[in-house]
Amino acid sequence: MIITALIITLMLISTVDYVLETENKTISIQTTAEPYFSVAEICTRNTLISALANNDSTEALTTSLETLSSILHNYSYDAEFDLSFSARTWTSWGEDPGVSSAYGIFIVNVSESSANYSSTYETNVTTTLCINGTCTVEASDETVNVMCTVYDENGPTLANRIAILYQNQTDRSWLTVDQQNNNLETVDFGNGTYDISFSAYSQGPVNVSVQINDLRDIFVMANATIY
Amino acid sequence: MRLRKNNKGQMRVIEAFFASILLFSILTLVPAPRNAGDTSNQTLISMGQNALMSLDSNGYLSGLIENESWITLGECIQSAFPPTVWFNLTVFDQNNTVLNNIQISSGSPVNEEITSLDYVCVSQSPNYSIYLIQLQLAVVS
Repeated sequence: MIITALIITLMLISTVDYVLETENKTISIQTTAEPYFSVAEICTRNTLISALANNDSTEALTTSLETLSSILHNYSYDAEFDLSFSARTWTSWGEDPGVSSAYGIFIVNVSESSANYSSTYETNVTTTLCINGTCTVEASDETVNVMCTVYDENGPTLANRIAILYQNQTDRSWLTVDQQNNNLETVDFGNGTYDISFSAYSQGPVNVSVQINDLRDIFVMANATIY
Repeated sequence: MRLRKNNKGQMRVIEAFFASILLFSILTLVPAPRNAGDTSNQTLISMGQNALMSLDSNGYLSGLIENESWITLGECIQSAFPPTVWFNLTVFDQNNTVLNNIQISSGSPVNEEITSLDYVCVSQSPNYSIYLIQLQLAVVS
């Protein structure tokens, strides 16, 4: 009987020990490092968006991230929070498609008295504008029809503002298309695609420039020759 | 009447005694239930962090701060907690200057134990700003 009791006791001890170990591991992961990593990811992503919205250079983005890193370093009394990074901005506003992009690789180290945690992640913020279209000659004017599609890093997205210009064939200046002079009509399909038509005082192919700000206020521009 | 002299059961009784001592001694190894207050504080901190992170993930939190929509911000925080949770939120800029000119709170200060958490919020707008948010929480009994 005493041997049976001993075996049962050993089983109970091992069970209790397993439960305690598992519980400690769960608590240490969920309550210490996870919030730091989540906060860092949100903060760095917002910093990239702000830099693009402000049309910042890579140097300006780096300065902003260094400021963020110093503030996060003092974020917690319980742990030492270090953020190191390599980030840059990139824009291509010439021929279709137009792209505004910011990209960064981040390493977060959280040092506590009991343990150290580390996380590496990448963040990409990109707005892309694709345009194409056709010209139709009507009397002395041309009706230009331009299809614009706006994308962010996750897929099609909406535009907050759209401006369209075309190039005057005589003096090569860029003219802003407006409702009053060019019968501007915009159809919003609600899925990031916009059908824009307007009258241009032009003959033959028309150079068109479309400029948009997405919902995050990131500016992007694309040019195309519409035939 | 003649008593039967039988000693065979004594060893069984002693064995049962030691076995019960062994089994009861294991109870001392079972951890005591955690302090209810600690669990409650940890839960409050997790709830507060989750509420702020969900508001901040799409830039909504910094937008409310930039527009000084303190009442809306208070309503958002209030909706993230049960009615029995008291909160008081303070927004600082990088220079530790308090930005909210009205109190963002679910009521008057409470006497219960107050838990506090800090949160760093970055704006998505072209004017890059970093805000420090202090959220105080307590369970009102």
